[in-house]
Amino acid sequence: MSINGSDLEQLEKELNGISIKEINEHPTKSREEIAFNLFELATEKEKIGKLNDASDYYWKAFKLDEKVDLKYREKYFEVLKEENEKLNNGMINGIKKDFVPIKYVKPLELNKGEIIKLLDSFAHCEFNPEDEEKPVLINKLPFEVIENIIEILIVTDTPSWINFSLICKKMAFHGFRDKNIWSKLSGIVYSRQNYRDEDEEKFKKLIKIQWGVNNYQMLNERPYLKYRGVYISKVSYMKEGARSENSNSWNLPYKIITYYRYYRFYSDGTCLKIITIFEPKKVIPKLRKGYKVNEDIELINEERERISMNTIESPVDNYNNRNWFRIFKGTYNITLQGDVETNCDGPVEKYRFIDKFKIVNSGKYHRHNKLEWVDLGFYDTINHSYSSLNRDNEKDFIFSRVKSYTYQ
Amino acid sequence: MSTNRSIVIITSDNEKFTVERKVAEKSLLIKNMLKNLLPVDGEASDSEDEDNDIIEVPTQNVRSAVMKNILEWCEHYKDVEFPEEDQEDDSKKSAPIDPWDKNFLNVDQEMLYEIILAANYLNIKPLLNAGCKIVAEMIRGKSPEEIRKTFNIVNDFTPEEEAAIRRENEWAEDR
Repeated sequence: MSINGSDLEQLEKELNGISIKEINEHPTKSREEIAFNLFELATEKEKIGKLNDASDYYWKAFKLDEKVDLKYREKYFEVLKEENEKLNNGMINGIKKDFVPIKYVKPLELNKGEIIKLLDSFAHCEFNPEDEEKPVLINKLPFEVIENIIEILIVTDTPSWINFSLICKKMAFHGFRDKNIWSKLSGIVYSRQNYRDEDEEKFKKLIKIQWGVNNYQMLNERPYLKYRGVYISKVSYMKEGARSENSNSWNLPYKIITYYRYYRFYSDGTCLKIITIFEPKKVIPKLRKGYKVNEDIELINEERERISMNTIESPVDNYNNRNWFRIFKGTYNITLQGDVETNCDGPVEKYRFIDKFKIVNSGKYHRHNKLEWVDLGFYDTINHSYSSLNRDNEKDFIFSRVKSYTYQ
Repeated sequence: MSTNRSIVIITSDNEKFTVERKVAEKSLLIKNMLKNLLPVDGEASDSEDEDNDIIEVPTQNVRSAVMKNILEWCEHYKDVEFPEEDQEDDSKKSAPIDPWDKNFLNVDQEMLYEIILAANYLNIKPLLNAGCKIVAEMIRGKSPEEIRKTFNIVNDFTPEEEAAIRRENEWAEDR
């Protein structure tokens, strides 16, 4: 279950640093309710990897109400059940079915070839009306027109093509087995890649030999960078400190370090990157060309507020939020095999920062959505020397779609 | 002279619409037909008794209620030159629908599909594309269940089939 962003912020404001006295004297909420809120806040923090905050809130929640986890679970399942009921209000196969948890349907275990066979078996399926009194009007349209509509969807909002193709067997056959549709998608995808040394031109013949006109297979196998979204690497590791001299504790003190790396690529060969402590929700709207940290009204207001509140700041807070939103620019290129190399400016002027990745699949059902680290390096433009940095703690990047991101 | 000549379009239910040649020529089908019948610069055919020379174009696939709409569209765009649609580029597909078209196509689903069908048959690409975009808008951002409702289509998958097909193809939506 997730509470929406503004509610969460509101809740955090309310509960951050709340004292026992304030809890006991809270005008509207009981101890249990506050415990529940703290628990919700903790799960949200945990979800985005802020483990220090999460464990603090969990601890407080349990302190106030030791059964808070059970209550949370109860509410959680209730919401899921309601959602499922909503989904199931319609008829399934013309028969009103009882509670079918659509969300947790176990997909048929079919491999790629079997799925293709299944789709091909739908070739002669027809549209069947939900309301049998009325015709399926769209049936009037010839396939070439449906194809045109699907192409519009692919160009403007690709996920809608998937949803449209999943409405019934006939449409699934059209949407997923039509060669022209995969060819369209392949054209969109590969024409926007920026190849090193005009790789693609050079290897045109090889591409043709390997995949011919089978664009579906090519899209499955030939790596490409995705532009309509962001690549995120969430790094989280523990660092142990030292015991103080007179301490008799068993454990060493430790801290959890969490930060994110973000990459956004553009089809014109440029890219943006940022390393920050802030989670995606805060970074995604700022990660764009033309963003100027000094003109960010949101940040300026935040700072003003903090100054006016005159709070004592931790050293981390003192490292001004503006510094966490410094976006670095650069260029990149890729090879046919999916090696990506970026070249960006960074905090030190005389260095160019050169990251190398390989585009890989993050799992059986995902394609080309992961950037695997190959090298984290920098080039000294004055001494003309190249070095690599340690990346023991670094994590690979995973792609997330962002609706508002376009190619330019 | 002949460029201003009127054309009579006969619909499937035998209704006759008399329109200017340039209105009728928004349909490439009709335009090509007329090219053979009425050469624009053909002095010879002009000199013959024009007034009686009525050009009738039968359109068996389009009924009058639909043709009325089609001709309204053609009339509106009669002075607009649409570029030849040789290169099917993505920008044309992603361009927003012209507000006039959007308003014009604000009709029930049945009429919308008939207009699309007629535009397809008569080869009026800009109208066909606008119609397809309207249908795409009816789909965009909706879940499969919502799309089924929009088009009155029953889900004939088992939930397991649907989930498997989704899982296998979902990666392609990111680009």
